[in-house]
Amino acid sequence: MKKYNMHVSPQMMGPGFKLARAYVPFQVMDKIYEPWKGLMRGTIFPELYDPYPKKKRSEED
Amino acid sequence: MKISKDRLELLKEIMALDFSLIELNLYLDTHPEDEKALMVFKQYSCKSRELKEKYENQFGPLTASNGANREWKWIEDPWPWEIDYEMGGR
Repeated sequence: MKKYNMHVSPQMMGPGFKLARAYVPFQVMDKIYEPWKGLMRGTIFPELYDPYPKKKRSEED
Repeated sequence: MKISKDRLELLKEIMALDFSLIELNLYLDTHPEDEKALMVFKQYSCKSRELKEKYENQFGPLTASNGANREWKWIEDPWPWEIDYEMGGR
């Protein structure tokens, strides 16, 4: 069964690493992007815009 | 496929507005009491209806169902994937 035993167990990662905690903070609408910008960014909520790789916010459209 | 610049601009504005409406719709589903979101949603849906009417009067139906009262012009227009959106786009 060796081939399935590739995970890194918490012990191997040291005591500080707990199992994942999933949470979704309740969103409160504040500012929203103008329609075209929202379409280009894929969301109208700045707090949800999080592109990979980390681009400087100001530089792209 | 080239369409006129003003037709493209109007189409893009409708696309952007409708995207915002979907986003606001999703937000309102979980925040039905959010007054500000509701206000923006109403504002955008009015504007979207207005722009669609303007577009359809000038350029023909956006959806097949809106093409029903005219001759079946629906198939003559460029399909969405045939349009060159970048031509002088924003």
